Amino acid sequence: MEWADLGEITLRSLAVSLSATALAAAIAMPFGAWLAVRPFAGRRWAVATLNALIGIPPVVVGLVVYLLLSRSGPLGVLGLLFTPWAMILAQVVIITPLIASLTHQAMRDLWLTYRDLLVSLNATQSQRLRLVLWDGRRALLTAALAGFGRAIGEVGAIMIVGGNIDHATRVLTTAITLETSKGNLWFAVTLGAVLIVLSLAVSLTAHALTRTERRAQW
Amino acid sequence: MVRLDGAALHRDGHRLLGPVTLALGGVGITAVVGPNGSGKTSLLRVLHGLDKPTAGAIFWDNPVGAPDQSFVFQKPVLLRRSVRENVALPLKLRGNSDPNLSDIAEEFDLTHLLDRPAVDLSGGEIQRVALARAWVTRPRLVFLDEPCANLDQAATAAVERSIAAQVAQGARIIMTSHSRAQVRRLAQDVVFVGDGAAHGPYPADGFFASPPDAARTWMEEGT
Repeated sequence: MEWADLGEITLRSLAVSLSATALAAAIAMPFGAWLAVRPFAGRRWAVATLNALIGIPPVVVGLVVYLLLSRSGPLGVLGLLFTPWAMILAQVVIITPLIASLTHQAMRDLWLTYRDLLVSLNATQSQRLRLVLWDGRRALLTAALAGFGRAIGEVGAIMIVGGNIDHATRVLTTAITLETSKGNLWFAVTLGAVLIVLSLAVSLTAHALTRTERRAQW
Repeated sequence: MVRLDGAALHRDGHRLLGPVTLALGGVGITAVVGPNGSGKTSLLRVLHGLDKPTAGAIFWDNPVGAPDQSFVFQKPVLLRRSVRENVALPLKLRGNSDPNLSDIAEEFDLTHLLDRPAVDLSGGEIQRVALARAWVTRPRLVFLDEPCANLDQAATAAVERSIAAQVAQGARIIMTSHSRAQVRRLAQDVVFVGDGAAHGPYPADGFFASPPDAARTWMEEGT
């Protein structure tokens, strides 16, 4: 691996984890809000399960996704194993419970405030969902950032399903693992610094966006 | 207009209201009075349909469907949005994406506040936003739960003026109030709620001239 590859690897890390965060958010946020807004008997169990899934070991997720995508697996025909798509899929599985749980918590508080009003106004189920999601959007941003942070720093699952292939599936975390084992410690440390700066940059950008949003909204 | 027949409300094994048997007519302002915790709010919530009675039944003579009613909560729930968006909410939920709010804003003296964030408002302004939101759909029946709690005299007077103006246009109001003076000023008839049981309705003049036995202690305690 060369210094020249640094940009490519960084961009791939960013692309994979941002895609995974976007996909996971699209699933987890409506689901988390739905759990908060919709009263049903199994809610407590659903939330407990969700919270348990937050701690699921990424390596196990990687293994399961590997089995699903491997040539003899049920999704083998798609030919996704050892592509960035497989890595995105694994990260979506890892961070969806986290985003859903954080969304549920924030939406639950908001819903308890809004419930009487929205029931009184005969708001439909989908109107209730959209209202709490929109009014709680700052909490949703935090949830998305938490998911992104977990995704971009994750190595176990993407190593298994991506394979750390040069110019194809190598990202910052897998490159750090490789360079460390090769003894290129200085390069590994540099990659680590890039990773941290990247996480910080994404987080700061997101917060800058909410501040402008707040001025316009409030 | 509405009749409760042995309606009761229980939650977690506690009795919040009832059994209440009560019939309310179709005009003016009915005040629901009584000690704190006696079940006034529960009575309003049951009448509005927010809480289903756990026993007994509720009958509407000339059905006032949910879309024709609105409810102003004791602690007004304002969305974290502008005054305009808060007042427009009931219309937007009904599919009117760009409602004209100039009349309603004028009626509740909110014109100059429409673009302010609702969280920045004072107590009196918040209450006027909640009232405007309740009336923006021009409902036939409005429930007000302590509309002037925590308001000073000027703000109370402003809210009472708004309420009186709506009644002049034919609004039907069922409200709770802890202020005997306010009830005297506004209400045509009075329902007394004590320990979950409802008494009345009594004509307001008669209620204050010679309070019924159930309400006598409450009358003597307050102002």
